[in-house]
Amino acid sequence: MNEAKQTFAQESEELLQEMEDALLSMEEAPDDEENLNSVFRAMHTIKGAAGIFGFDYIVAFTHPVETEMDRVRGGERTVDSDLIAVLLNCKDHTAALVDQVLSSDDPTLPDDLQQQGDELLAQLTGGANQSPAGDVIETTTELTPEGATEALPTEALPNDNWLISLKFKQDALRNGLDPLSFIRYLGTLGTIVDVITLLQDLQEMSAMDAESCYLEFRIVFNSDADKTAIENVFEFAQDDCDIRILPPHSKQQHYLELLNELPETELQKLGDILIQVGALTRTELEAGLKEQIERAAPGTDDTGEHKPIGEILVEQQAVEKQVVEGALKKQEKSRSRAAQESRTIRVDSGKLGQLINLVGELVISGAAMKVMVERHGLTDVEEVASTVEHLIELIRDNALQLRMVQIGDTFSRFRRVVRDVSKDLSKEIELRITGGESELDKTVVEKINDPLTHLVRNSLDHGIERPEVRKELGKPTKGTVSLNAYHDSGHIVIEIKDDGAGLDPEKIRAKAEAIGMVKPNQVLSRQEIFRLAFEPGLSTKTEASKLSGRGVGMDVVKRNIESLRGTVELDSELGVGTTVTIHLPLTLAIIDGFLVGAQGETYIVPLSMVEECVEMESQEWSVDDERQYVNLRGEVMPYIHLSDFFGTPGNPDEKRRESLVVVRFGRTKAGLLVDELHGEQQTVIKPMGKVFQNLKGISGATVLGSGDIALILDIQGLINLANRQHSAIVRH
Amino acid sequence: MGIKFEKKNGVGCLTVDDEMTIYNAAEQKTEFLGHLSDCQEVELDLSSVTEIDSAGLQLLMVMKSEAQRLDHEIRFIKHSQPVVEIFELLKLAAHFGDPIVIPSEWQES
Repeated sequence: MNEAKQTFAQESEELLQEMEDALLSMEEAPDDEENLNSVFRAMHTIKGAAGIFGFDYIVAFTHPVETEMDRVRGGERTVDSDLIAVLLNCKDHTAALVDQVLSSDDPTLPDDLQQQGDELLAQLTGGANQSPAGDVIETTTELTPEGATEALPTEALPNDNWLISLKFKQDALRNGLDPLSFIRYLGTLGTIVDVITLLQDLQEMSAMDAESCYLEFRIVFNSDADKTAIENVFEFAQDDCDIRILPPHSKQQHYLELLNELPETELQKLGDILIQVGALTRTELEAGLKEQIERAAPGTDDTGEHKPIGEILVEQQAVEKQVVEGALKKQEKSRSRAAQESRTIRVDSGKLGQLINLVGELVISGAAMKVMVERHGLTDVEEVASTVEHLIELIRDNALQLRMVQIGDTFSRFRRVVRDVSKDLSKEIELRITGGESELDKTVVEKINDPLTHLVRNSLDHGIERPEVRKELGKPTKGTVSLNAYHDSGHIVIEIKDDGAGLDPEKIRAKAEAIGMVKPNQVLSRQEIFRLAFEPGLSTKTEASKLSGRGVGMDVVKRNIESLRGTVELDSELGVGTTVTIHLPLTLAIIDGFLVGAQGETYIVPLSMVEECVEMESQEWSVDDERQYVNLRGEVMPYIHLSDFFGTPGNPDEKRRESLVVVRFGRTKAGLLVDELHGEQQTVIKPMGKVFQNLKGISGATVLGSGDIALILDIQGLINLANRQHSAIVRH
Repeated sequence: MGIKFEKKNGVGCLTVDDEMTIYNAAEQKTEFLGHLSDCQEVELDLSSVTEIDSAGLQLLMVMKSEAQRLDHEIRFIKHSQPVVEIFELLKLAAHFGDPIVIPSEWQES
């Protein structure tokens, strides 16, 4: 029973999340039926499942909500912000009910929950009586084919012919085209029923250039060939001619039939669907897409509002409106089908972890085998070994991929937070989400949620000013908070950015001095001052609010992120806004490593952080021992001598052949001086015991193919150390 | 080779003894339009047009519409085989409205 409950709770949670997303997007697009359906579906499914398990109070609550949603779907009630607000509360209440199921076996509901539910239902249905039934819901799905049928009235041609319109550009003849030859060739595909030859508007005959082309043709053509075949006739003329091909009516019918027959298994783009049934050619689609981009370009580029491709294609007379509508319907069907059967399998995360551990061992054994094969010079085994190695690599990537999830879901949860908080604080705030498709390890995603929430709330509360203040400052009254994610050298970067008040470095410094964190005469860079914001006990807000401002939190954020081997940085400009950047490693298990040696010890640098390697003999770099920097082609960076740093004994008299490995983390670079470069190696990160936890510059260890142990360098830590060393010496 | 012009009973008679293609369209156009504006009535003998392409066809169309604009008359006569072929391909006979005589010795095309 308990297991069943868990499943019920998990499914309900997903459905409720879907419902919330739908409700939030309903605020922007109240007429989108798909959103209504989602809300209805969530309530309906939860009700059904609750009925099976006998959770009567959930049924009692979800049933009226479902009924109300059915009325909305039937057009008896219009969607407005009040309704959405009540429905959001209903969603929260349902979640509370589901929690109640999990926590107690009591079949009756506590009074407070019962009362809350009754109130919500009263709000929901009470509102319905005021709203007149049968309000007309505006439909915006209608296509507007401006001038689509003006130029070529297909209705006037009842017979079953293609209609081809060719408008040659003036340079066509000079470019060596002979329009007649295309028409002649067209004749081989079918019958040319009629041609209307036109001269483009020529006002003055004497001004005409006899070598320019002014010809236009309208060809009525009867053929069984398909659209692509006909278009191919004019392939060479494409650059010098506007070609429009309208299919005959029987073809339209044919396209619609084909559309119906298409399988609904996968969701395709509109253009691809049309190409698949032959109603559109790839060239036409490309022209349409280009047009779409060009139209969207002036001024409105970042609003993301494009004219739908379907409308553009109809305007360009590439396809008939009817066919586009058919295809849209088809697309809609596949979409809802795709939503219904979510093709996923639930797997215990423990099993996944086990799999990844095994893959890790496999990687190590694979490396060991490679060493043996090389040692014994088994050339005939080498080929098999390298195939196995390649397969292991693929298995490794796939296994790690299993744990990867997109960060988008985490991001979109903040839409609700932003909505609620901006209502509470009476601010106008828009949340912009980009890069939601970036993937990272599930364990990392789970742990990043809290720090992110904290940072977003900070932006909402302290960052964005009230609308009236913003107006005075000449900013748009609506503030923007953006969440962005992207991959950068084996890391994921998450940015939280607002266009609010920004932070005053002076204030932070003053506060830090006041609590004795820094001394008044201490020199701090701008970056260092902002770093203080993450120290415990520091808040520049004079009074604490319900949301934040107590000076606890930022230090927790920093600690949480560092425990994931990540970093957090803050940059801000007073009056312009604040950006917080988080760097996180993509995965915690296996990486591509770069093997280096120093005094007989082997170390591993994560390959994604290696910028370049430079050989000893090279004239491109020189070391300044005194001031501890490397000069590489004019670029100066701090360096660390690996064997000196780790204190491995070496013969000082022996002249060492040294190489420079340049590593990069975020924007900072540093050099590592090593003796040997061994090349790439798949590396399974083995965490080190507690004893070694305080070791600087090392993030883990791994077992090499030879059975030896190699230390994995904590590049980020090393770079910081090198920087400190460097600046300490410079200051002296 | 070239264009012959003579005036018979007030009718300007033009004979094209050349191809009508992009290579000589510019030159032909100047000459044709010159005669067309001089004469109230023009007859264009196409019997010796050995080859005609889009530029040539375009020129014929321009002449027709220019004549209309000037309220002059232009007739195309004795269409050669290449000219007829093009007229047929583009269904232009009706557009120009001149009677076309097809000698029986021409091959079916």
